[in-house]
Amino acid sequence: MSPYSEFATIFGVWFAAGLTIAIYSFLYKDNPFYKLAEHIYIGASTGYLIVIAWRDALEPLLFNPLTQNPQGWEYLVIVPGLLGIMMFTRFFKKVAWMSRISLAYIIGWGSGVAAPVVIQGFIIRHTGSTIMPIFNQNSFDLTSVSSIVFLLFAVGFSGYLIYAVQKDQYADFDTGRRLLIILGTILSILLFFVSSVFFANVTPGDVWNYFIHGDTSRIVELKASLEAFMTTFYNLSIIVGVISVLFYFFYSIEHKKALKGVAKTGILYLMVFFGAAFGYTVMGRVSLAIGRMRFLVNDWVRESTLSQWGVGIIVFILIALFLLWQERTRPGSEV
Amino acid sequence: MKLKTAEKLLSIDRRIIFLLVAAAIILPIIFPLNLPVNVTDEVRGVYNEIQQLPPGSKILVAFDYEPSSIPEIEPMAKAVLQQCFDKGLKIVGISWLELGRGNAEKVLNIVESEYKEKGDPIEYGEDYAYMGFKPGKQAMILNLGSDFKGTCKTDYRGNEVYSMPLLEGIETLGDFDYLVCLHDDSMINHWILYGHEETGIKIGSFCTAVMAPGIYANLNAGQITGIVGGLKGGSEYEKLLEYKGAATKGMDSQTVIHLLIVVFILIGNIAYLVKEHHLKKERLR
Repeated sequence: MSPYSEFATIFGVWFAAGLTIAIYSFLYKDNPFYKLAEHIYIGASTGYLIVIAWRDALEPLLFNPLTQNPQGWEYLVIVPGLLGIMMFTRFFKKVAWMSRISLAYIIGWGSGVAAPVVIQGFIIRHTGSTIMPIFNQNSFDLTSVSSIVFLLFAVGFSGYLIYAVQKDQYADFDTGRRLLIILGTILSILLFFVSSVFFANVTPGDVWNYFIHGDTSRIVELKASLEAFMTTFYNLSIIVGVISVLFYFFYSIEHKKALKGVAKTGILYLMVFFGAAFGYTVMGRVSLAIGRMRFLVNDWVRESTLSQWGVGIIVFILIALFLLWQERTRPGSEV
Repeated sequence: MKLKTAEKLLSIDRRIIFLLVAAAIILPIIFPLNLPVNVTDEVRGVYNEIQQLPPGSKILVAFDYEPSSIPEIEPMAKAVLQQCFDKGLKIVGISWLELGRGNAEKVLNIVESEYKEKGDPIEYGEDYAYMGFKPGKQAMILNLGSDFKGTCKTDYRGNEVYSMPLLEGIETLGDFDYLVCLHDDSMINHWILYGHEETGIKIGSFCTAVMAPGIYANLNAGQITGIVGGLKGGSEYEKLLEYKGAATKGMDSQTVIHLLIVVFILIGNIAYLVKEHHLKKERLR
């Protein structure tokens, strides 16, 4: 139920719909409707801001304490009041220096308060959440033959890859040899994790029975193993990401040879973040358009009566004619 | 594909694309598709935390979003307020943005009138209260952490907070059982730094999609219990509450428009590759 009168509600909906269309008309090209809506938007929000700042901040916190029988410490509100007024001295060249006192106070207070909490709340906390065990001890088995074999393969392949890049040999390798080293490294690391983490508490037979015979007697253990495997991979990706991204921004060592690979991995992680952020941004902007379109379709088009449309169209035409006439009579106008 | 076709595709008038985008948004509003919504762990993290609170628990809701973010945040605000009132939780609202004040008033009025229509009215001062815009940003949160009532003094209607039954037992920010932060900027960082770190209050983030990726680090560090991000997060929250609100209805358009964007990207890239291929061929001749 709207707290406003029927006329105010209808007028508000039509006015808002008109302003929405006027703003969207910029997509076609710049025009007086867009400019009008833009000015109304800036003006209305500034006016609203000033009223709220007075009603919720200046009046109860500064004006009232000073005018309603102030006692003792209440006179202290003069100090922040003066600091606030001094900010406006920037508009007068001769006394502009006074605004620096207010700024110095804000920056000094802000830095003093922020420095310890930012270190504690962001740097230490976030570093702490990055330092985590790669493996859960209960779901890690390095005693099996396959784990040891794949570990040796992983160390061998990755060691050879780093050595080859470092010694400038990698560039001379043919495609087949390159593929062998890269795939060997990736596959041996993957198989090492599969055998040491996934098969720590379940056997290949359990997997076979589940998929082929539909045996669900070991489903709990299978799910736990899969979760442990995914967690291990997640933890590893965090460690690799943190180190490689930090290294990308570390310029004291030249990013060449094997270190170039580390920096490139950092770029890859950054790109993943930027991609996710961009995707979310697109979703956010589309949401705003959806909000306006829902308003236009549901609140404006569907709710308006025929007589309202009649009045609305006449008003639109009058405004359009007035704005066009104004634009045409303006000296130097291209419209 | 011929070179001319590729060139035509690469130089489509932007206004045609705008029209297609508008159609992709409007058509699902007129003809809903009712696409399914899957709930993620991030959203469940906030929902479960509120759901496990006993009736009478007090929740601080920070309305830290501007009118430009209403399409994204308002559905979430309605959903979380509904969840709280249904569970008998008490709500105290606050804003540290001047423009957030009107948004809070609007949502609270809508929810209040909805409950009135349902025959289960909620009362101002008993079930919920709104402190209004409180200036000072970081300083305000720090002060709330040491003396909540002394910092607020009056609510947005000018009532003394000391005599408000709802605020009995609330001395500091830490006395609240949960903090719901509805935000469209980095205000959550200040609530985390000066609120959570100082008083230990648990926080749930309800944010615009733009903000969501940046606060996953806080989620991993255990500084917030979950993230409800953008229209998608809002629709997931509505699904948990088993009702179809503005966010769920908006997700149809969201899905169609994303498909359209994918198609545009594919067409653009294919046309570009075809053009390059033709030009390379011409150069070799």
